[in-house]
Amino acid sequence: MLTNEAQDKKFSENKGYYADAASVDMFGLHLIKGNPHTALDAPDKIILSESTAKKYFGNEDALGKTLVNRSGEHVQPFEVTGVYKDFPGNSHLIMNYLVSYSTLGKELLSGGDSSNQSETAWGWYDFYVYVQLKPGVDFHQLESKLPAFTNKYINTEEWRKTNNVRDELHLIPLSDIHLYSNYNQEAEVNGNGQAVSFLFLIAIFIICIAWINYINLATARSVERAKEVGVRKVLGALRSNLIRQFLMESLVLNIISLLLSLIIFFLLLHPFDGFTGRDNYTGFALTANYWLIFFALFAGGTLLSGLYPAFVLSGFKPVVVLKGAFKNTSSGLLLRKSLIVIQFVTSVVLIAGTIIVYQQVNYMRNQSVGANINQTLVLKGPQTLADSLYQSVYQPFKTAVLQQSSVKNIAASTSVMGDEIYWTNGSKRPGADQSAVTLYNLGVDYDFIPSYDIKMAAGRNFSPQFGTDKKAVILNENAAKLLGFKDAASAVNQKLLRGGSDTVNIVGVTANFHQLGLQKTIDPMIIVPRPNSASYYSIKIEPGKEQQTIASLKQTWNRYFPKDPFDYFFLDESFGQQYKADILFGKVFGVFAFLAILIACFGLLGLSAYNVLQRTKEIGIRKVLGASAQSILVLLSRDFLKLIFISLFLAIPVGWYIMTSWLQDYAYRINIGWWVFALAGTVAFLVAIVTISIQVLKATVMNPVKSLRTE
Amino acid sequence: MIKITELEKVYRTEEVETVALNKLSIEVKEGEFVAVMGPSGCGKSTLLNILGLLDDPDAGSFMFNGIEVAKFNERKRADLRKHNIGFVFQSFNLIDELTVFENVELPLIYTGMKAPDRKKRVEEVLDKVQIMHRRNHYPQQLSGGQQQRVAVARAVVNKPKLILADEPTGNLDSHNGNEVMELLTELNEQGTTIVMVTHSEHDSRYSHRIIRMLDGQSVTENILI
Ligand SMILES: Nc1ncnc2c1ncn2[C@@H]1O[C@H](COP(=O)(O)OP(=O)(O)OP(=O)(O)O)[C@@H](O)[C@H]1O
Ligand SMILES: [Mg+2]
Repeated sequence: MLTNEAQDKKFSENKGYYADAASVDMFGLHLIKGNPHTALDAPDKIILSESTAKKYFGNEDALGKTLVNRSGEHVQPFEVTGVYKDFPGNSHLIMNYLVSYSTLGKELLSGGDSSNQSETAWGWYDFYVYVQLKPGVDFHQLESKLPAFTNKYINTEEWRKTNNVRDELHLIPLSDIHLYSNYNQEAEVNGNGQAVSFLFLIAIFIICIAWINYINLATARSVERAKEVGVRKVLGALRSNLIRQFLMESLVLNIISLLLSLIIFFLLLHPFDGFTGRDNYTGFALTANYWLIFFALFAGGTLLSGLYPAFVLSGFKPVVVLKGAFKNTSSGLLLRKSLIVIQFVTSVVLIAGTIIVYQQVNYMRNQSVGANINQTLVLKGPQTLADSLYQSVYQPFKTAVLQQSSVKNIAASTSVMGDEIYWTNGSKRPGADQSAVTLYNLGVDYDFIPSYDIKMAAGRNFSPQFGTDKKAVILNENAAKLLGFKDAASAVNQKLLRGGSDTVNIVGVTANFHQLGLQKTIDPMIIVPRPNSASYYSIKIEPGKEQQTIASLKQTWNRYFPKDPFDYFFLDESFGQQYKADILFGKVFGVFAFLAILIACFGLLGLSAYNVLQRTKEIGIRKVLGASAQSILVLLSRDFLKLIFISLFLAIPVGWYIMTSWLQDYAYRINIGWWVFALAGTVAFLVAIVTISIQVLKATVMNPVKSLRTE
Repeated sequence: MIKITELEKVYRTEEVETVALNKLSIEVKEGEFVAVMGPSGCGKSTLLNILGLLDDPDAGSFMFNGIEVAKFNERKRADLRKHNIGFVFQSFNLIDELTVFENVELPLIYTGMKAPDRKKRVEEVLDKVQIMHRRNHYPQQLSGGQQQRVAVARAVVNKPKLILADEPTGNLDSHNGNEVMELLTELNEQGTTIVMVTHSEHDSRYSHRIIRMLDGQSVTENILI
């Protein structure tokens, strides 16, 4: 928490880092104010991002002013030595402020630690180390030297004995962090590389569908153009002339669509940001690589989609064509049929995929967490209170809060659901011949478990009535299982060696609950009594009285914790944030599915129109001979519908395989029901029927005399 | 069998109105063989289309077997047509994708005849027009005369009472043309009524009566027998 004491502006902060002097240069921080060379070169210096400076100092010049960090009784003033331009929104690292790294060493020293740990300790995992390599250096080369390094400096005999771990160092390219890094304690919630590849794949699918349509329609029209080709050849055109002509046609078409797509792209950029819930990402520049790929795709598409029809068309023999006996070849017909099938397989897979993504998200959102997170207002606990004073302030605060009629209860803890737990240690059963297992610690007060309705599988909750509960712990079922207990009940009253040395007594085992979203497995947890936990206060409130409760809570808060900001969130909302990316993925997926089937339908529309056109005479004859409208309808749609049926059956295994592998990312997932494909198939089928009918109905009601006259 | 009185048909396009039939009155008796002649554009095909219930008149009366059919809807016309009328066109109008056999079989399918009966019937007719040996060929593989004989076979396969032929020999040489004309005469002798449009005086001599048209009206009638 930082305070501008002069104006009494205080905010809790969590996007600030200790950073050494080199980082200004390495991250290319653009200092609007201050000297980049000296900004972080000595203890107690702080530099702020432009928006942070504005938050604390408004329009005043922040340079040279003081911000204070309070933690317990400890008061730490920083001098603002610089203000830098905000990082762009798509940065993998958000830094609202940076404090000179030497401050940390000074703090530790004043805290009584003279071992210079901030410069020497290997066991602190809370640091991000950035290494800038010389141009042209392969990072794998450096990485290959790291095991020898770690063995020499970190994994000493002593280290291994006390910590029961072996440390490894790894490098990851900065540009890979956002999409592919998956470590604990990431600086920001990362993107999902798999989802990006997935969407990329779908985009490729869609453009392929469009190319397929072009090839399909171009070759279908070949009958019509055969005569033109015949005449041109008779007049002396060479095949190469004709190929060039047809390629030019496709190039012109592609250029027109390219221009249209660029216009649409820029028009949709803003709405799309809104749709995906991002603010203003339009600022970032597209790289040269992007444009290279873009134009390669364009050129490749033009060539590919133009080449086949060009070769087919230019290959016609004039004699055959001009005699009028020309028909579409059966191999061309087969190609067109397979292309339709591919389009509809893709469409059905995408529709089914959309349904499955939505189902999975719904499933995760509606599945019971195993704890009651509804109607829970979470306050971020005070940071400025000394440990010795804590209970004497907290207890009256608690009493005051509970006096409000809309508050049911209040509990304190080190973390709440939806929070990734970083506090871990190894535990084992004393005497047991097993290696320690890693348990995730949750510190709670006496009210936490009942307040959240967390079920006890065996044993009891902590209680102030038991004087011995300082040394008591509660496990969750997964922890009990991992420690080798036969069941929950048999773990109760057993001893546990926690963190290597601390012998504790297991007083209870809770049923498993989801600390994190359902994407994640439930970690083995150890719940320890910490009546002084002040990270979060969870307050259960009556429905419908949220606003007034917040107002009165704020008053109470300011009475007891005047130096700390009143900072709250609703737990169900913050827990739901974990599904934001999935919901978004579902939305984008849905849009793509819609696009795919739309384009596929354009193709189908074109082909069926063409088919009808070609068969006009036949339809006329059949009608003269007494064919009914229905029989014509069946005649004209049968072939298409057959193809679409084939697509449906192909789509099932393809879609099942793809979506099953997508679901693998989720620890708790739905089973794909057969009905999903039935539904997706029906949708595609109906859309296809409607598309075909538009053309076919026209032909069906046409007066046969007219069609015979066209002969 | 056919009695039309004061029949009118007007074609309207955006720019022009063409009066194709202008108060035309004609009667054709059962068992007759009538030839319709006249200059190009005088409305012969239009007349034939209306007689064949492919098109409806704008005004006038059309009695078919004593029933007023001028105001019949599409469905009723189709029903009447497929049981009573066969067509032969100048350009044959066979379906290229179907074999000779399948082309001739088509009307029987639409009247709902069973497959074994159809086969028997089609073979009978193909035999009669002497094209049996080409039954599995496609139209493109036949000469014009052969194609027209298939078309005639298709026209008579469900034993219609009336055959309407629009320049059936127009695309044929005289040898093939005579063959088709003899076929029609034979059918007429067996009781089928025939109305045939033709430009050929030679062909018209196969008929009993010639109706001469000009500008949508009947001008003279020559009775030949
Ligand atoms: N669908 C139509 N739309 C507009 N006018 C038409 C249409 N069909 C025919 N006509 C016109 O109606 C008149 C009669 O045409 P019809 O086809 O009956 O002549 P026809 O006597 O059969 O001529 P031909 O001997 O050349 O076959 C002509 O002037 C023709 O242009
Ligand atoms: Mg005519």
